[in-house]
Amino acid sequence: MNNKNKVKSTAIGVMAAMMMLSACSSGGSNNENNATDKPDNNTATAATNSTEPAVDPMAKYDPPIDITAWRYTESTYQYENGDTIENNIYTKAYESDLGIKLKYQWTVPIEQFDQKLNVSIASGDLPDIMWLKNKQLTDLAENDMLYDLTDLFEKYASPITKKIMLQDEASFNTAKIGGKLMAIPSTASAVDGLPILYLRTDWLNKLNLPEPKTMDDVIKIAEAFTKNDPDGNGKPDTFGLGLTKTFMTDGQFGGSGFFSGYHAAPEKWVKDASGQLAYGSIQPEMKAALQQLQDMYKQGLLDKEFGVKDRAKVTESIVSGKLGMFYGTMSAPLSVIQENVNSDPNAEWKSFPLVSFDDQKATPIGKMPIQRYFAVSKDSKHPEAIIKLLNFSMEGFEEDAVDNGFGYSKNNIPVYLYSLISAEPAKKNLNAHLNAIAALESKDPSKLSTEEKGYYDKIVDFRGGNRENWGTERVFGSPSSFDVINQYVNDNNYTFDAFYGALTPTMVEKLSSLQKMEEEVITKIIMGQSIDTFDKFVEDWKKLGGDQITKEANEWAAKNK
Amino acid sequence: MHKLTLSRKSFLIFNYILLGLTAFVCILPLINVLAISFSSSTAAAAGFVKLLPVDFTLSSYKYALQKHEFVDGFFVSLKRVGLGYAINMLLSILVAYPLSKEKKALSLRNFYAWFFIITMLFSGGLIPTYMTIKSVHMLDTIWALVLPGAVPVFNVILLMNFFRGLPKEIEEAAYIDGAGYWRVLWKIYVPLSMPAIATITLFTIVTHWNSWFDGLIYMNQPIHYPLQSYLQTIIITTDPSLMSSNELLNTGDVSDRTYKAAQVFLAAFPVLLVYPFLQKYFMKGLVMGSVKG
Repeated sequence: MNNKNKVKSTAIGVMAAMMMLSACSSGGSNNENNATDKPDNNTATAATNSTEPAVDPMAKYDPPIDITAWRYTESTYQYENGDTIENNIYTKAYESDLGIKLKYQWTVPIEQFDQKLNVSIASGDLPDIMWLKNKQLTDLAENDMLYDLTDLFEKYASPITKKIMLQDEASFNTAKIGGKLMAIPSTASAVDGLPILYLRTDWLNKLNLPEPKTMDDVIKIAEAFTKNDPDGNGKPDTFGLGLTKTFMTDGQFGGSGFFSGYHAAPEKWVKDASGQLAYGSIQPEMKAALQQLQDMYKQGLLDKEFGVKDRAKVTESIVSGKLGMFYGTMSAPLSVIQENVNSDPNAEWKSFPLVSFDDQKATPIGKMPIQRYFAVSKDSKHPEAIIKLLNFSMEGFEEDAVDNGFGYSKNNIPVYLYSLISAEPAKKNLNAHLNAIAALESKDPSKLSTEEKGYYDKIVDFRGGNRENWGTERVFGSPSSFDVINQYVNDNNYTFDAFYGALTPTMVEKLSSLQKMEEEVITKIIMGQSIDTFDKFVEDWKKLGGDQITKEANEWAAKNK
Repeated sequence: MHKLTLSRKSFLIFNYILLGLTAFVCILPLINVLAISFSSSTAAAAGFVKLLPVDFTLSSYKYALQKHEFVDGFFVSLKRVGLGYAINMLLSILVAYPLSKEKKALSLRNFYAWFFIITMLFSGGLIPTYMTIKSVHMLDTIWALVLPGAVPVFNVILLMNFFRGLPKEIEEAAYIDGAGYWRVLWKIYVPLSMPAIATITLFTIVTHWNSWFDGLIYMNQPIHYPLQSYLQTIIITTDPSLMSSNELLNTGDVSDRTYKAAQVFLAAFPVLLVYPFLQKYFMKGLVMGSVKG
């Protein structure tokens, strides 16, 4: 009995404390609401007369409304104080600040998102707000199951929201189907995905090789890393360049950076001389790159078994010190190389910009950085709620924004991941790098955001001798991945996949089988099949639907000029 | 004991070696997983671990047992096996008994038999089944995992054939002594069919323990996942194209390999425990049910 009461009273105490906390943290935006509420009420009564009723984008729903949704979660999400994805700082603020009670129809681990999504869509039971991928967005929009957000966005989006969402108009427009805004894209930093060349510099020094300036250097390094026993164990067990079996599309251990060295762009759309869109994989530039890869394979500079190795397997080669060079994205020092640095006290890596085989610069090619879309069901009673939720998330990017704990908690737990609707300003991470570097130079971290301060602390820790934080230094510190990305940006030397619309009908039908054929042919060529097979592949590709796809891609381009 | 000829002897030796090797090959992956689970994460990430742990540590097991997804999933799975086993066994016995009778005792016997067998050959398909479960409001409850497969027809057939193989005279004697159908079933058929029931027990437990797809489809919150649905999420590789650059920063590709191995092994452990105890019945039950006079 006694115990029970104790539990009860603690529970009440905790709840009271939590309510106070959330009241405090949302205080700032509440005041704004109150201030704007009044004029809104006035105009609402007069609305019938005026032609353009003023709407308050942040007006609270009273009484509160229910909004259903679905989303995925990830194993990297962390929770504290009994938070869950259904009940956390965001859901509480949605209710107290916006009058929106968020209920998840389902949440699912990201690995199973596709399956769950497809079953739910097929059963026709759509929530108010859904997370979608490009393909499902196209499907639902074509079947007229989504709410057209064009006007709502105009009307309800706050200035800061508009500013951030339209920073990169091309990626915002990926959510437009037939000129109508069918979803809110989760925008992110486009330059983050650009390929970078990573090299083991302790091997480089040991073998007395210069840093790579041209593709010739890269190939020489690959050869030396394979044949000159860089790890000094007397066994020929190392190789030159790391690729996965899916290197055509992969970021980590991908081929994109290598192909860029030959000005080829497999699996991406490029503009040809006449300004038309053309599919990169069938362009003649591919041949030189493939020939080179074939030679490298023959000489053992590539892993003989690369055709069956996935990312985890190639990472194994890195960690065990068998591989010293690969093309990857900016996160590689943290996600791939760190383990190698942990296990080998001599290991040191550096990131380099792409190099070219001739005197023309190699230009890295990225993809539109939209991983997911937030769409609203046609049957939703409050379709504008999504814009309010978006406004709420964007408030934090206001220049004079106070840190209300919606980004990182005091214990540096990334709570921003709980947000239902989120989008990032372009170049967020690049700015984090620049700010961190500036703070490191001036030794004054006071101007950094909580997130940036987290990186700063880790870099300081690394510089103090803790190699566990090597990865953060090599991503956000200096020399680092973002040094290279910053260089791309300053030189304005990067480009994106020229086709970034929703998949066209023939793409939906044929693209995946064409891609499969392409990957097969290219892998076979690298493994020694005659380079002439490439010409046959180009013909086949065109015949088997490629021409039609190219035509549709160009129709899209004509519309989206 | 008759004397073995030389050729017979050499055949036996060869045979045992071959079977031993095959068995060894089958158990190798399991040993490898076990070794990885006891190794340090760096050794595992570098691929140094083969059959013996490198840098022995129990930290992966500590991690797994603290991970609430794992522990929650474990209990959901236990609940599922308990409930599912009870329902499956009860219904299998109740269905198999009447179907094992002659046509004159159960006039629509053939109709009923086909009624069940058809469900083995044709299923409703994923989406209609999902919608059915949804419309009876079973989504996100444990019932969605046990009720759709409540009558395992394959097991019913196995049991039915076993019932038929039992001597009729025992049953007739019981009737003469005044027993009804119920008493005959529970006091005579069930106790006599222990081999078959043990086999079905094994099938049922293993099936319930190992299914993951229904958990993924019918459960709306990961905390309601049975263990195997959760394990599936950690074993398949995430599609990086779905992740934002920030999410990618938080992803360690390999450092968690030992954790995964520990969880896989812990999940397989209960079934490994059950097997040896039921195996002797297993052979007998399968064979006895299949040959009937």
